[in-house]
Amino acid sequence: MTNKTTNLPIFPLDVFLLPGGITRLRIFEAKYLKMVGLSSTLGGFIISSNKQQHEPSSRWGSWVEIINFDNGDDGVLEIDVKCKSLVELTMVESEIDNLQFASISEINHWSEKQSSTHLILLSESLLSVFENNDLLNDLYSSKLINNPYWVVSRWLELLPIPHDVKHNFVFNSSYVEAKKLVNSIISKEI
Amino acid sequence: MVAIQTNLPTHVSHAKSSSMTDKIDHTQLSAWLKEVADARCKIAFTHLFKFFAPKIQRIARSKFPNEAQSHEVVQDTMSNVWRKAHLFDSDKGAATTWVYTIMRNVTFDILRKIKSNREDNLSDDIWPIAESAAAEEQPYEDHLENKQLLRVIEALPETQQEVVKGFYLMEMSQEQLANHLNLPLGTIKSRLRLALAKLKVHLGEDND
Amino acid sequence: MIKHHPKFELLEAFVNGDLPASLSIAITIHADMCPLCQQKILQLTEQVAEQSFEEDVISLDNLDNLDSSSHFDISIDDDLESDALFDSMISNITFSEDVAEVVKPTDKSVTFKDKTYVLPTVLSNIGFGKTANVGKLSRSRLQLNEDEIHTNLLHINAGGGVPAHTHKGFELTVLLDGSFTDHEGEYNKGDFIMLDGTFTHTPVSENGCLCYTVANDALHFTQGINKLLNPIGSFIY
Repeated sequence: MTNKTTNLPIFPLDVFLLPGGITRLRIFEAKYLKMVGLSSTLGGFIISSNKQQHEPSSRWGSWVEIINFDNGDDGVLEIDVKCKSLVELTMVESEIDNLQFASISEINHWSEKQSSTHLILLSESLLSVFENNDLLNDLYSSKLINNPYWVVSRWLELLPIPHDVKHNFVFNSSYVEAKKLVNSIISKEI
Repeated sequence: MVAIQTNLPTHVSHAKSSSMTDKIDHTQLSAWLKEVADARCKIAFTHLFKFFAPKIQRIARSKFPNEAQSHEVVQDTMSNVWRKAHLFDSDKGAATTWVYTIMRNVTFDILRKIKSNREDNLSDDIWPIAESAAAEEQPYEDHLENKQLLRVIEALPETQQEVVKGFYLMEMSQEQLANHLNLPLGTIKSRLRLALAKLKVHLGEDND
Repeated sequence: MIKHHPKFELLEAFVNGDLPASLSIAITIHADMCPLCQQKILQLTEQVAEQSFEEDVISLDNLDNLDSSSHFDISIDDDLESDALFDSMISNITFSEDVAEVVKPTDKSVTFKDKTYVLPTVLSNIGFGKTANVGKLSRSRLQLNEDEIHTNLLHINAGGGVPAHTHKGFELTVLLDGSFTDHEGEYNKGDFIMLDGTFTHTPVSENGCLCYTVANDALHFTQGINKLLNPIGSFIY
């Protein structure tokens, strides 16, 4: 099953979202409204930056599913999407209305792992970020604060570091390196 | 493999395709409709009928328990296609959209007759057939690929820039992080610099 | 400016023809005044149409219809039978070469307390009950026959309001003309305001307004003396 390819529409956005990560998108452009409609039958869509350098690594994206939606105050459609896995984009084609579709294969990523080692400092600190940010708090109805992989993933998404650096953590880097990086910024422990 | 996600309520249960490759020949369908409209051409109508009727019947069967009613939907829909073909305007939308509108309206009126015992045939007032045009391109700007917009964002002072981007990117600004950790901004900046430098050494320079 | 719109899910059900007439009419009224929703509806219709008439839907179709085994067995007999049936349908339909003429409905108008309003076209072919008045409120019921769902035109005269109320079901208001306010703010022409049973609100209209309302349960007034008004609840909605 894992290597079977699927064809999904692409939403081009420079956002770093690991499995389990949730973000809110505002959709008002005709072709992306269409994409939202399609995604309910196709099983989601791919968020992928079109600023990625494809060499030496291939283009990747976050396969997301819509978990909630609403009309914003100005009537624009807002959808909350959750990343189910990271994927490698193999073939990208334009179809109707320039909406792009990609064949994908899933990437096994450490952020999907589970464990119950409590990272006291990172967990507590992340929890307080959530508590002080209504939007984040709303988006994550369950916070897997006791799962270190989840905690490090969320921190990696939130930290203000350049995206090309974050992209390294998709293919090349391990959980240990990600944790080191986050720790060195949040708690200054290495 | 295709997970059908459930949070977004969808009623298009009859309408699912696992691939995007199975294309409908819209040009052909429009051409047949035009022949029906202009020449009352029975052959063109038969082609349309063979294309649409089995699909309409299948969809109707999912809405009506009773076979006679699903036949009624096919009969009424295709009869409207025959009698209203002159109202179809291929510039305004696809033939599939037009026939779908007729089928949905016929179904709605029959359901209403059953449930509310009313034969007021309101559907054509709710969804006027003549106006079932396709979406015209709205002058929406592409907010993601619009380079101009990005340039505007990039011209903003850094703090504002991060507020604008943050809406999409779910990322903290350096100031937010400094506030959160209760540290001076300078300390955060140097921590970030140091952390990134270490990472680069570790990963090698080829990822730049 | 229109600030309140139907939810995406409601638009989807509308396009699929799954909403009752009362709510479908409400969305048509709103979309006629709201290009944004009109656009969304057109796109959804196009998509659903495309998907409905795609070729390879049979196998996946079954996934969604596990409850009805009858959808599985499109047997050869069935096919032959429907071939014959289809052939006779084709000859019946094409027997007459008459073309359907389209009559554009003439717009209706209503008068409440000496004020005359032209109604949205979608209401042209619907019957109305007699107007009833209580204080500054007037209502006329639409004869849609939808059991527990009641649809009305509700007119609030300048300075009038509806006492604080809540109800078990939903209450939908589409503002046809004028404006009103409640604790949430001001509502204007074209706004589509859907409230569920958890809301309590007290709409007041300074300059008067005309609303299209749909509710599926009588109102219950919630404040002190207004409880005495509960019989009015079934009057208004």
